[in-house]
Amino acid sequence: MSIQEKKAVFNLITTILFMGGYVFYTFGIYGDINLPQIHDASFWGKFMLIMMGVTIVLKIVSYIIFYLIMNQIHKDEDPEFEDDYDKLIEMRSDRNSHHLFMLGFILSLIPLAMGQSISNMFIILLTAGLISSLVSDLSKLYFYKKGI
Amino acid sequence: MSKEHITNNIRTLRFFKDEMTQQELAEAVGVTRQTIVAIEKGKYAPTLEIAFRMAHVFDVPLDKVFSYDPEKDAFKKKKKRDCK
Repeated sequence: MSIQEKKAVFNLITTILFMGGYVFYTFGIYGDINLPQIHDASFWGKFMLIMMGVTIVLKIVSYIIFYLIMNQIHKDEDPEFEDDYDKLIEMRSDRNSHHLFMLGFILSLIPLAMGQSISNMFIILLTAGLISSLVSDLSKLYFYKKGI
Repeated sequence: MSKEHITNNIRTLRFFKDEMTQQELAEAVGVTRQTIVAIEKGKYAPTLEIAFRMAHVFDVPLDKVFSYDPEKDAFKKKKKRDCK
Protein backbone atom coordinates (compact mmCIF):
# COMPACT_ATOMS: atom_id res chain seq x y z
CA MET A 1 0.00 0.00 0.00
CA SER A 2 1.36 3.42 -0.98
CA ILE A 3 1.68 6.38 1.39
CA GLN A 4 -1.28 8.09 -0.31
CA GLU A 5 -3.53 5.07 0.26
CA LYS A 6 -2.32 4.75 3.85
CA LYS A 7 -3.13 8.44 4.35
CA ALA A 8 -6.70 7.87 3.10
CA VAL A 9 -7.18 4.80 5.31
CA PHE A 10 -5.73 6.68 8.29
CA ASN A 11 -8.06 9.62 7.68
CA LEU A 12 -11.03 7.26 7.34
CA ILE A 13 -10.27 5.53 10.65
CA THR A 14 -9.57 8.74 12.57
CA THR A 15 -12.75 10.38 11.26
CA ILE A 16 -14.86 7.46 12.49
CA LEU A 17 -13.02 7.30 15.81
CA PHE A 18 -13.03 11.02 16.60
CA MET A 19 -16.55 11.81 15.42
CA GLY A 20 -17.96 8.55 16.76
CA GLY A 21 -16.10 9.04 20.03
CA TYR A 22 -17.40 12.57 20.50
CA VAL A 23 -20.98 11.58 19.70
CA PHE A 24 -20.69 8.66 22.13
CA TYR A 25 -19.19 10.97 24.77
CA THR A 26 -22.04 13.48 24.39
CA PHE A 27 -25.02 11.18 23.98
CA GLY A 28 -23.72 7.96 25.51
CA ILE A 29 -21.70 8.85 28.60
CA TYR A 30 -23.39 12.20 29.31
CA GLY A 31 -26.70 11.29 27.65
CA ASP A 32 -28.76 11.92 30.79
CA ILE A 33 -27.59 15.57 30.82
CA ASN A 34 -27.51 16.24 27.07
CA LEU A 35 -30.46 14.28 25.66
CA PRO A 36 -33.16 16.53 27.23
CA GLN A 37 -31.52 19.53 25.47
CA ILE A 38 -31.61 18.19 21.91
CA HIS A 39 -34.60 20.36 20.99
CA ASP A 40 -32.62 23.46 21.87
CA ALA A 41 -30.78 25.18 18.99
CA SER A 42 -28.09 26.59 21.30
CA PHE A 43 -27.18 23.05 22.41
CA TRP A 44 -26.55 22.04 18.79
CA GLY A 45 -24.55 25.18 18.16
CA LYS A 46 -22.27 24.38 21.11
CA PHE A 47 -22.14 20.71 20.16
CA MET A 48 -21.06 21.44 16.57
CA LEU A 49 -18.50 24.10 17.55
CA ILE A 50 -16.90 21.94 20.25
CA MET A 51 -16.89 18.91 17.94
CA MET A 52 -15.15 20.91 15.19
CA GLY A 53 -12.54 22.24 17.62
CA VAL A 54 -11.88 18.84 19.22
CA THR A 55 -11.73 17.08 15.83
CA ILE A 56 -9.29 19.66 14.36
CA VAL A 57 -6.92 19.42 17.36
CA LEU A 58 -7.05 15.61 17.41
CA LYS A 59 -6.51 15.44 13.63
CA ILE A 60 -3.45 17.71 13.85
CA VAL A 61 -1.93 15.63 16.66
CA SER A 62 -2.74 12.33 14.93
CA TYR A 63 -1.28 13.58 11.62
CA ILE A 64 1.99 14.60 13.30
CA ILE A 65 2.25 11.08 14.74
CA PHE A 66 1.27 9.56 11.39
CA TYR A 67 3.92 11.52 9.47
CA LEU A 68 6.58 10.62 12.04
CA ILE A 69 5.73 6.93 11.61
CA MET A 70 5.60 7.23 7.80
CA ASN A 71 9.02 8.92 7.78
CA GLN A 72 10.42 5.88 9.57
CA ILE A 73 8.68 3.30 7.35
CA HIS A 74 9.22 5.03 3.98
CA LYS A 75 12.66 6.52 4.47
CA ASP A 76 13.25 7.18 0.76
CA GLU A 77 9.86 8.88 0.17
CA ASP A 78 8.49 12.20 1.39
CA PRO A 79 5.00 11.56 2.88
CA GLU A 80 3.99 15.20 2.43
CA PHE A 81 4.87 15.38 -1.26
CA GLU A 82 1.92 15.65 -3.68
CA ASP A 83 1.98 15.69 -7.47
CA ASP A 84 -0.63 16.40 -10.17
CA TYR A 85 -2.05 12.87 -9.92
CA ASP A 86 -2.64 13.22 -6.17
CA LYS A 87 -4.18 16.67 -6.61
CA LEU A 88 -6.48 15.40 -9.36
CA ILE A 89 -7.62 12.52 -7.16
CA GLU A 90 -8.13 14.89 -4.24
CA MET A 91 -10.25 17.21 -6.39
CA ARG A 92 -12.45 14.37 -7.62
CA SER A 93 -12.84 12.98 -4.11
CA ASP A 94 -13.72 16.42 -2.78
CA ARG A 95 -16.27 16.83 -5.57
CA ASN A 96 -17.99 13.57 -4.53
CA SER A 97 -17.86 14.61 -0.92
CA HIS A 98 -19.28 18.09 -1.58
CA HIS A 99 -22.12 16.71 -3.71
CA LEU A 100 -23.12 14.37 -0.90
CA PHE A 101 -22.93 17.07 1.72
CA MET A 102 -25.06 19.39 -0.42
CA LEU A 103 -27.64 16.62 -0.72
CA GLY A 104 -27.51 16.13 3.05
CA PHE A 105 -27.96 19.86 3.62
CA ILE A 106 -31.04 19.93 1.39
CA LEU A 107 -32.42 16.85 3.14
CA SER A 108 -31.83 18.47 6.52
CA LEU A 109 -34.14 21.34 5.53
CA ILE A 110 -37.06 18.96 4.99
CA PRO A 111 -37.74 18.31 8.73
CA LEU A 112 -37.55 22.05 9.35
CA ALA A 113 -40.04 22.76 6.54
CA MET A 114 -42.35 20.09 7.97
CA GLY A 115 -42.30 21.76 11.37
CA GLN A 116 -40.37 18.95 13.07
CA SER A 117 -37.83 19.36 15.87
CA ILE A 118 -34.57 21.14 15.09
CA SER A 119 -32.71 18.06 16.38
CA ASN A 120 -33.74 16.14 13.23
CA MET A 121 -32.13 18.78 11.07
CA PHE A 122 -28.86 18.65 12.99
CA ILE A 123 -28.83 14.84 13.09
CA ILE A 124 -29.18 14.76 9.29
CA LEU A 125 -26.49 17.45 8.95
CA LEU A 126 -24.15 15.55 11.23
CA THR A 127 -24.77 12.27 9.38
CA ALA A 128 -24.24 13.99 6.02
CA GLY A 129 -20.98 15.47 7.29
CA LEU A 130 -19.75 12.08 8.46
CA ILE A 131 -20.83 10.27 5.28
CA SER A 132 -19.35 12.92 2.99
CA SER A 133 -16.05 12.74 4.85
CA LEU A 134 -16.02 8.94 4.57
CA VAL A 135 -16.95 9.12 0.87
CA SER A 136 -14.04 11.49 0.26
CA ASP A 137 -11.55 8.95 1.66
CA LEU A 138 -13.25 5.99 0.00
CA SER A 139 -13.20 7.86 -3.34
CA LYS A 140 -9.48 8.45 -2.91
CA LEU A 141 -8.90 4.74 -2.30
CA TYR A 142 -11.06 3.88 -5.32
CA PHE A 143 -9.23 6.31 -7.63
CA TYR A 144 -5.81 5.13 -6.46
CA LYS A 145 -6.89 1.55 -7.13
CA LYS A 146 -8.70 2.08 -10.44
CA GLY A 147 -6.90 5.13 -11.80
CA ILE A 148 -8.35 8.26 -13.35
CA MET B 1 -10.66 3.63 -16.04
CA SER B 2 -7.57 2.41 -17.86
CA LYS B 3 -6.34 4.41 -20.84
CA GLU B 4 -6.09 1.66 -23.44
CA HIS B 5 -5.42 4.14 -26.24
CA ILE B 6 -2.26 5.40 -24.53
CA THR B 7 0.35 2.70 -24.00
CA ASN B 8 3.86 3.06 -22.66
CA ASN B 9 7.24 1.34 -22.59
CA ILE B 10 8.32 2.64 -19.22
CA ARG B 11 8.96 -0.81 -17.75
CA THR B 12 11.23 -1.75 -20.69
CA LEU B 13 13.00 1.62 -20.63
CA ARG B 14 13.61 1.31 -16.89
CA PHE B 15 15.11 -2.13 -17.48
CA PHE B 16 17.52 -0.77 -20.08
CA LYS B 17 18.39 2.13 -17.80
CA ASP B 18 20.32 -0.20 -15.43
CA GLU B 19 17.09 -1.60 -13.95
CA MET B 20 16.06 1.83 -12.68
CA THR B 21 13.57 1.57 -9.83
CA GLN B 22 10.15 3.23 -9.85
CA GLN B 23 11.25 5.38 -6.92
CA GLU B 24 14.36 6.57 -8.80
CA LEU B 25 12.26 7.46 -11.84
CA ALA B 26 9.69 9.18 -9.63
CA GLU B 27 12.40 11.34 -8.04
CA ALA B 28 13.92 12.12 -11.45
CA VAL B 29 10.63 13.41 -12.88
CA GLY B 30 9.22 14.94 -9.68
CA VAL B 31 6.24 12.70 -8.95
CA THR B 32 5.41 10.06 -6.35
CA ARG B 33 6.14 6.37 -6.83
CA GLN B 34 2.39 5.74 -6.79
CA THR B 35 2.06 7.95 -9.87
CA ILE B 36 4.74 5.99 -11.72
CA VAL B 37 2.89 2.78 -10.83
CA ALA B 38 -0.38 4.24 -12.18
CA ILE B 39 1.28 5.48 -15.41
CA GLU B 40 3.04 2.14 -15.99
CA LYS B 41 -0.24 0.26 -15.56
CA GLY B 42 -2.01 2.66 -17.92
CA LYS B 43 -4.36 3.92 -15.21
CA TYR B 44 -3.28 7.52 -15.59
CA ALA B 45 -2.14 9.62 -18.54
CA PRO B 46 0.49 12.04 -17.23
CA THR B 47 0.72 15.70 -18.13
CA LEU B 48 2.78 16.66 -21.15
CA GLU B 49 5.44 18.09 -18.87
CA ILE B 50 5.89 14.81 -16.97
CA ALA B 51 5.88 12.87 -20.25
CA PHE B 52 8.69 15.07 -21.62
CA ARG B 53 10.64 14.75 -18.38
CA MET B 54 10.39 10.96 -18.64
CA ALA B 55 11.61 11.01 -22.22
CA HIS B 56 14.48 13.23 -21.09
CA VAL B 57 15.41 10.86 -18.25
CA PHE B 58 15.50 7.88 -20.61
CA ASP B 59 17.17 10.02 -23.29
CA VAL B 60 14.73 8.92 -25.99
CA PRO B 61 12.07 10.75 -28.06
CA LEU B 62 8.60 11.05 -26.53
CA ASP B 63 7.06 8.54 -28.94
CA LYS B 64 9.45 5.86 -27.65
CA VAL B 65 7.97 6.28 -24.17
CA PHE B 66 4.29 6.71 -25.02
CA SER B 67 2.27 5.63 -28.01
CA TYR B 68 -1.25 6.61 -28.98
CA ASP B 69 -3.80 4.46 -30.80
CA PRO B 70 -6.63 6.64 -32.20
CA GLU B 71 -8.74 3.54 -32.99
CA LYS B 72 -9.09 2.75 -29.28
CA ASP B 73 -9.73 6.33 -28.26
CA ALA B 74 -13.45 6.67 -27.57
CA PHE B 75 -13.53 10.41 -26.90
CA LYS B 76 -16.58 12.53 -27.70
CA LYS B 77 -15.93 14.58 -30.80
CA LYS B 78 -16.98 18.22 -30.61
CA LYS B 79 -19.90 19.03 -32.85
CA LYS B 80 -18.93 20.99 -35.94
CA ARG B 81 -20.54 24.39 -36.21
CA ASP B 82 -22.44 25.19 -39.35
CA CYS B 83 -20.55 28.23 -40.64
CA LYS B 84 -22.65 28.90 -43.71
